[in-house]
Amino acid sequence: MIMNVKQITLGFGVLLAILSHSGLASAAAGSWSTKYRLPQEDSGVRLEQPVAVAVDHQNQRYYVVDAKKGQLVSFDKAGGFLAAFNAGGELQRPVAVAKTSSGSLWVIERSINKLLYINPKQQKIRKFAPKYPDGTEMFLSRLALDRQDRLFVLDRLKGAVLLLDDSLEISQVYAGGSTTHGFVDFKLQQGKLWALDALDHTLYRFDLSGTVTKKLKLSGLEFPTAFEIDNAGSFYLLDRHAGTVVVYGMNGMRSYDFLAKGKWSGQLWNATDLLFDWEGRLCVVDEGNGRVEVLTR
Amino acid sequence: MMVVNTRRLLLSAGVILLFFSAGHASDCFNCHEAAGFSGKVVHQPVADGDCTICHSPHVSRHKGLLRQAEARLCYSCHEEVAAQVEKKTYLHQPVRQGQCSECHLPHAADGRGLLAKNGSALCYGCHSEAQNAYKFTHKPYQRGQCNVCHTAHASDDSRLLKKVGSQLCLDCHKTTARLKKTHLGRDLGVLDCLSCHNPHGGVERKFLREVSHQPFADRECESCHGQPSGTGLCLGCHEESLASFQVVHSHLGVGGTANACTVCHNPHVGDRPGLLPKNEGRICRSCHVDTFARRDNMLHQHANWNSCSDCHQGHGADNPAMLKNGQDVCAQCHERHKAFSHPMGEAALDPRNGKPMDCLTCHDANTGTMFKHFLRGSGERGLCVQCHQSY
Repeated sequence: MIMNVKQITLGFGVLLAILSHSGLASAAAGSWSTKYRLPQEDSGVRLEQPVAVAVDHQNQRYYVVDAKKGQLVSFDKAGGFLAAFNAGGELQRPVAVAKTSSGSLWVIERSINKLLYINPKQQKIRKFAPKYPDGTEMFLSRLALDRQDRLFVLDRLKGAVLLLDDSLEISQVYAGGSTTHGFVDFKLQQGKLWALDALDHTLYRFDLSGTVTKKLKLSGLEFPTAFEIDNAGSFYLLDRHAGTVVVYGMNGMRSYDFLAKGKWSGQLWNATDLLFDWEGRLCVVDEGNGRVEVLTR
Repeated sequence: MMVVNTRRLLLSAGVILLFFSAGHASDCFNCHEAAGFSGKVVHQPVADGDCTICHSPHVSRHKGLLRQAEARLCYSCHEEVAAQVEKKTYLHQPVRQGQCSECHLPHAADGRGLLAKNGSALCYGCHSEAQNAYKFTHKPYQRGQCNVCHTAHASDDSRLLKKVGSQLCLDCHKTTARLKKTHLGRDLGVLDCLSCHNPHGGVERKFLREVSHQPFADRECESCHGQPSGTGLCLGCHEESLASFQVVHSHLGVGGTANACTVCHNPHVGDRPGLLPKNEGRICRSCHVDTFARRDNMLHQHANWNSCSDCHQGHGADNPAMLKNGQDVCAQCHERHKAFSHPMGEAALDPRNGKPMDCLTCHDANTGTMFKHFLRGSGERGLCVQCHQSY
């Protein structure tokens, strides 16, 4: 009997070893599949150049930024098309959006390098060009709001994330120091700010006072451009050139990857952004294929 | 008695086997003209008459009846080269392709290292673009001694330089007080000499690259130095450049906390307008390591692939990959193809994603591929069935 138990244990060990060696184990761990895509194939809606997505957790809606069409396109919780919005022609090359709890939108408009505050109800648009105290301009590329609607922006010119106050003055800087190549994406999670140095393949964790409290060097990436963090603390790195999403544990150990480079459904071609929605589904913005894959597992 | 006989028998059999298996050049030269195997420098196995060290006399799966694939065979004796190739980041293309015989003759040659030609004549066989005439010429270049600075097999520098940074230059050009003074007292050990000096030659005695930034030419150092060195410093004068960055995919911001402009542009001198070097791929490679690594391993690559700005907009573009003219980038050079190729544009939507087809749907001009014309799959079938599945 003891012999049998030993044999079974050994059998499991061998099976696990084979699975992990062949990659089947990682495939099993990463069994993500497309729930739906934005826009749905039969919707008659076409995204020319989706580059970013924002989620309205309260109303369960998606807002996709179509840079080429100069539009924000909204979808409902089932992926159904709701509306396309160009702010009366003010959106020419939008590259990022975030929605406040009051329903207003912050948009980065690249063509004029300005931050737009759009109140859809009042149909009012205000344009801002936030600057450093010494008058230096910013070159904004990503933005996010925390639960108190505080605005965080990524300035590519200095490669730093900035917390802006109500008058859009800088109240905190999150910079990696002189050795970084600058950040290309950031995420807020549980009172911490994480930022990605893409060239160095390193994630930085800051406390909200701007101090670096952790650095994670990630292996096995070609050209990461965006990332997300799930509730368990795992990191999802979008590798634009490889066409994959690579998952790392909270200690930075590579766990598995999913998706592949290509043009068929479920494949990626120059993807740009990652975001979890209100149900933990992963939205992958695929610029080259003109769609957003909403993945679940 | 029986044991002794058996021993004798085995010994005799061994001798017979050795006799037949050993290569005897005299046997080979019955057919292969011996004169073709002589020269000032003769490969040791040839000199020893040991043809079978490299060749299998009867059958082989390798060309020339070689016992192993070319590079593997060479590395079996030349272990020091194998070790170097293993350790270094950048390999000379023939080395990467395992083609030692691109440069070396296997039997005999007139020059050291069994090289097929002497000095730069060998290198210019492939690197004709490096063969130039200068008013003032660096001595090793003038003498055709490429190997004074370059290593032929592998290096940690993409230009296959023997040493990185200024150390290569300082090995010959000793640090003198005068040299230091010329460089405003800066630590010469941390300078990148080649960013300002053309190591082959130039129009003036110090081989400074030909196009100068105006303040540098006017010796107005203080117009840039002594001010905040961020990107704003450059945009202060080159304000008109800002608009070229205000596009969806922008290179503004590649410098991290430092000046984004000087990541690509040399603030002092360059080889061409824009203060860029002639070898622009080297700049792009410094960030796009993965793209170049992928390309290095492809069989079929686009011509002039190192001239990135032929197809890409350096500051940025609305198109993915910062391509110039979007889908029409290829028509800049391949105008005729547009007229007779596979239908493209709105008339031919890619069934995989519903997007209009373009040249890049089927060709990968960026990294190249393993297929002719850098097709993304076999032109016989594999590529076409991606869309034409009923074929």
